[in-house]
Amino acid sequence: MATVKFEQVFKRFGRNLVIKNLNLIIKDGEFVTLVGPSGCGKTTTLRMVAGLEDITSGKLYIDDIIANDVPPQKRGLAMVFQSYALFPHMTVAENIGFGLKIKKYRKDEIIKKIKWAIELLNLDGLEERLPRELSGGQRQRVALARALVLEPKVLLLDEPLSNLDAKLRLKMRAELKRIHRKLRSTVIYVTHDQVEAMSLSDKVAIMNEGSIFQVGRPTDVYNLPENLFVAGFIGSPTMNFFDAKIIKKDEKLFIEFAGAKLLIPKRYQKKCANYLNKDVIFGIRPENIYEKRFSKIKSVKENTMDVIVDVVEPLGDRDMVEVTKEGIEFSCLLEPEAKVKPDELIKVVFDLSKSHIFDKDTKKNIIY
Amino acid sequence: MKLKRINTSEIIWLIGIIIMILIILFPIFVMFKYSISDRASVVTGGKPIPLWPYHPTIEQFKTLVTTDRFISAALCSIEVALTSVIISLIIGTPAAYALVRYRFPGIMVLATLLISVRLFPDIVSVVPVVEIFIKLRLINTKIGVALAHSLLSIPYVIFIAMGVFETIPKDLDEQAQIMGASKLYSFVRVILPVALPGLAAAAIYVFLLSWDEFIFAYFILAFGNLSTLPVMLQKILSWTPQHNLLAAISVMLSIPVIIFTFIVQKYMRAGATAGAVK
Repeated sequence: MATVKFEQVFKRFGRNLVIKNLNLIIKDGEFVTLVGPSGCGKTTTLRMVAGLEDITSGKLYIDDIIANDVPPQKRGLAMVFQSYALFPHMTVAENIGFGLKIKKYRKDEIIKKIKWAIELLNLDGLEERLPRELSGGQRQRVALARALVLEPKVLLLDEPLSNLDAKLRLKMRAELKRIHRKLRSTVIYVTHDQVEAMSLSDKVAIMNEGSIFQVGRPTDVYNLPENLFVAGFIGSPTMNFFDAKIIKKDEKLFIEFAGAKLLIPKRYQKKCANYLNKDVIFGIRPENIYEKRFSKIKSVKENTMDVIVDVVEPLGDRDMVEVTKEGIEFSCLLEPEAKVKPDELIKVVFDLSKSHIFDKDTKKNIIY
Repeated sequence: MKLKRINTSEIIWLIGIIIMILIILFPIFVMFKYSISDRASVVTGGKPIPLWPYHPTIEQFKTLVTTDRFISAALCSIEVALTSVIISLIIGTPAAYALVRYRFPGIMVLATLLISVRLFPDIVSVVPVVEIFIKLRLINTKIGVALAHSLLSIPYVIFIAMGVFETIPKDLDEQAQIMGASKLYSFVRVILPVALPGLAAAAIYVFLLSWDEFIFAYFILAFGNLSTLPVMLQKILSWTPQHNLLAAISVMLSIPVIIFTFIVQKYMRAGATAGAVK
């Protein structure tokens, strides 16, 4: 069990600065996910923790000890690669025991530990199989067993589920969560899948272009994204964004977009005052737009607009509805009972208490 | 069932291929035929030589395997070939691994230099090599021939092994290191076993190269008592031997080449890293 701390870490590949001033604290026993689009530097960050990449400048602490120059062999970590990297000429048991053998455990201890790992990951009966005789899910579990058996200070997972099919991925996600709850080890998990990040982690760090854009609990980054990138990246379906303007009417601030004027909630009024008559970006998630009859909040003139239904995609529990208003398209998740049909004129209610307003230049969330 | 119609161009292709195969196989057939011919089928006294011997016999082979000279040459060839395999693999494999895993500037220049010895005709590079070997007292020794053959084969070993190592994902090295293995340990315990089928192909390649190499072996052994099989063949040729005996030696020389070539093919197809990474 251990803590990991990045202090002003930079990483350069030739002329490319791939990690820019990374600061992050990972507490003991925490499950932290680095999430971001491909090329954002998340895997590089993980590899720096593992010791597979040098740190150009800054400090990396593992357990309060500067680890910049500690070779990977001495860091006491374990990693599961996206490819699983199972040793193809070794059986499942040999793969799991590989690290223990190097660490010079006694033979009976090795056997005991292998057995423990086999049981933990439900690999019974596969001990003597070779990796090529296993299914994708089984290989994944062997890779995990091989990592966990070393009782690593930190467990590093690099997109471990991305090679599995959708159904198995869900199953393994739950499995990972179960194991983490049981072992309480520090985990750094890398994924580009924000749903995975949200469902697994205690803390998510959203990365883009080599920097962390926000760190926080999944619900916090979801409900209160610090900036436009996080708002757009986290959440599925993605947030709607509108070019908008803040205007004043009867001493109150309104947000004006798509020909509609919606009242900014009281608690955001003060924060928006500086942006009066300025262009901003207005963001709201599809699930925070309701059909009038099914609205969770009271429909008033200042939060309702008329829209034309464009496309309806039934998802089962909800309908994903694309609507247009004055040529501007956006999506909302509506109750199937509303039975909206294409080309129909409907009234939708915006839950502005769950909306966000972003500075057009800095991309920061004004109401954060 | 409807038979597939074969059109004219396919027939022409087929005939062409058959003719080519016959041209390629004809000398081999002649060699084999002579090797099992009785004396009357070779020395016909003006009559055309028959397509198949009158009385096929394995007499020549019997003679060979009971001739000390042949046996010692064969053993010498095997010993030299195996030594060449060991030397060139011990030197070539780690070199290839380093070239693949530690990318540094000028790597292609280095790789080109490595194979440059093969850019010269053997008959050119044999002179300086023999010159050096005389100074080192390696003339007329098996180890001398083995070293010369290693010199010839190391570039090939490096290039074959580089190809093999390139197919082994770097993840495996890194995984082993994170688990506590030193670079040497992970090379020996993880990478080498995975590379084995590919390296076996390289080993067989070296064996065959050494087995039928003539120029270097001849210059190093010509004036001594030792002979590898090709050198012995040359020495016998100088006193006009029977055609059928000569053919028998050629067959014996070819057998390992044929067998090993099939084995190499099998290894080449084996999925060396199946199951390592998805």
